[in-house]
Amino acid sequence: MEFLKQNLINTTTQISLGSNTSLAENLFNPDRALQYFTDGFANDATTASITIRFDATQTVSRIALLEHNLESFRIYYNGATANTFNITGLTTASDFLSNTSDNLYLKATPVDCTSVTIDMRTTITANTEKAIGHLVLSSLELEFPNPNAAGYNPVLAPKQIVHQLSDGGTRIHVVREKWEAKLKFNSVTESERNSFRAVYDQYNPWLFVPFGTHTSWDGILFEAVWTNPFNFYRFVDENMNAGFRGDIDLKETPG
Amino acid sequence: MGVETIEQAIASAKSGAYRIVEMKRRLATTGLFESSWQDISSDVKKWGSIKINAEGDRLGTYTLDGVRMVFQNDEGRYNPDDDEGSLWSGYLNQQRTLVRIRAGLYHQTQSANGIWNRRYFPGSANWDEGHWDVDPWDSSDQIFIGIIAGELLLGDNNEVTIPIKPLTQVFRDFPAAALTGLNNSLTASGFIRLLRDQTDGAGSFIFRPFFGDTTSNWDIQSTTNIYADLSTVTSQEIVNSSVWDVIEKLAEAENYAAYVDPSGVFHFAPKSATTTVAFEFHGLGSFNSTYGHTIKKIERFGKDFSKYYSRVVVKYRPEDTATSYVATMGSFSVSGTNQRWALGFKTLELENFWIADLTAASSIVNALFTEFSQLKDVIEFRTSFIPHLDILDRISVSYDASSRGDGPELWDVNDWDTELTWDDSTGDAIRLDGAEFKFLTMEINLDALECKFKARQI
Repeated sequence: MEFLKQNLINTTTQISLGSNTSLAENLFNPDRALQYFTDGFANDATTASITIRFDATQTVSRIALLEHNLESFRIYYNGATANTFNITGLTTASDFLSNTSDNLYLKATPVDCTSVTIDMRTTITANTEKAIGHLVLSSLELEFPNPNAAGYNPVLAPKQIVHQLSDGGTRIHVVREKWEAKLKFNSVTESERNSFRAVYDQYNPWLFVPFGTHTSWDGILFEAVWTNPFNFYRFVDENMNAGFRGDIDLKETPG
Repeated sequence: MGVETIEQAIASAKSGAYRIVEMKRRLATTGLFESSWQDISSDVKKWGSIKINAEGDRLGTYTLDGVRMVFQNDEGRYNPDDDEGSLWSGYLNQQRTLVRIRAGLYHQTQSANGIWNRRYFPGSANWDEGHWDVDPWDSSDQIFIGIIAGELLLGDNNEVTIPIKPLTQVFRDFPAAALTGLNNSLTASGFIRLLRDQTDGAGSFIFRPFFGDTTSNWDIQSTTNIYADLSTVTSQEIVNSSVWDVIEKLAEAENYAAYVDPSGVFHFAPKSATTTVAFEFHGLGSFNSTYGHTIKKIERFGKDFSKYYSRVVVKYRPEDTATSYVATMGSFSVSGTNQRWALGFKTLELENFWIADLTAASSIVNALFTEFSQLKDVIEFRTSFIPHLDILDRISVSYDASSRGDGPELWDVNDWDTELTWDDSTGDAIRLDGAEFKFLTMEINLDALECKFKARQI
């Protein structure tokens, strides 16, 4: 599991698009049903590009594409197509020819760069406009071991109004759906405890990615706040060297 | 099945709902409103309720009640303008800041090519490949506009309650004696136009900036009666009145309606209810595939005796003489068919010395008698969120508390005598089959996304 630093994309002025520039905000709007999509590129023979520029050099080691429809695409940095990212678990670099997943989480060798470009060549359903629901460029804040199954409880919690109508039927008005996750750890080292504490103390936003992968990813990634008290100072056993136990309650931020 | 109309969105078992609150501050330099709306929705902790009332203080005036919204103030964004962290820092005082609320429903589906389509109601916005350039927040989803008026008191719970009053407040706050341009040939509509074009003497409009800074947000229907009381700011009816007091009296004298609708348009126009049904409400025992089932509960239904009057008297002159009054009532006799005998006399009294003459007074008396001399049904009911109705809309209600259908029934294989079956209305607490009503009040609870209506039989 991973905590990531804040998404490096947070303003439309850093985004260059070839079409539909008014939809730039949708690239970093966490509402994935509000996508960025191209206009006039519903043809697999035409390539559309997105470039994200940073004010200063930034480290990029995690790239997430969510609710996208790209089949063949290339991601590179500093404007040179040869500057692809080395992706963990892939034999090729960040140059995809036949992707079929609508959510992709790419763990890359860290790169210091001033821009990242995505060349969108073809779509999973041929000859349609290219679309991305949410794009995240970031780097690792903390990687930590997975809890056991009972210690991981993710919930997509809707804020909704449930109306019971006069015949007993039910109607729902969904205001928003937000992720929540409860993590329970029974044996963390002092070093891990201190790392958790560093995240707990942070005021800057950060992202939670429980099982990010470039194959069959569930797409769970959200900007989170740690809502419960920091309780990792409790010992696991009478033996103080056996480690610490604690809980993390995460809730998605507004937006 | 796609959702293409607002009725389908309302009837849908599951739909998205959105609420947006935005404000416009006034620039400290010019005193004028900033050009763009600022979205402050993410700070809202409690939305409150909006109520439109067609039973105003005086006949002919519709009131849009204010709303009290609670905002989180963790960072001091809602502190007074002299606080550098305040959203008003560098702007004029928080009072009289324009605030508008928009709300509606949306439906979303994902196409086979992976692109989401989100369609908003009311309005025409549609996020898909073909309509990407339509502004999703068009103005048709506006359900309230007003100004901040009242205390914004801070507590140690980091919350602030902001009182927002309807735009009519700008008329209530302005003394009629401060107007310029009154003259001895002013009609009621001429007076409203004078308000629309009222300036500070240096070319800056006084009321118009609150109404979109455009004349198109003033719906002024012409009248012909000339009011002597509008000739000078020292006249008795002007000197101690607010502008809104004058508007109310003029509306009553002309039998007009004066109100600001939820979209921010000021209307001074005849009271004319729409003739076609704008929305059908269906509840228990009624199925409709177009409008769906929206009634949650009928709170109250019955004859509205409090709004029944068998006699109407209007006093339109200050002198206590017979010629100052106009009255009408139906015939009276002791019989089983005479309503005055059956229900007793009830008199509706109205006093308005702005009414121009006997003809105008008679017209008002007849209109009131027509409206109130019949004992009519009134209904109060709650529904799921319906964002697009207007106070002048005609509606229909279908509700059948009985579970049985119409007509004679066969209880078993024998054909029972029809006298043993019930009449189709027997046993029903409430049975309405497309009964038509007009709204008296509409209330939208934005926290519960629920509407509450009170309506009177047409």
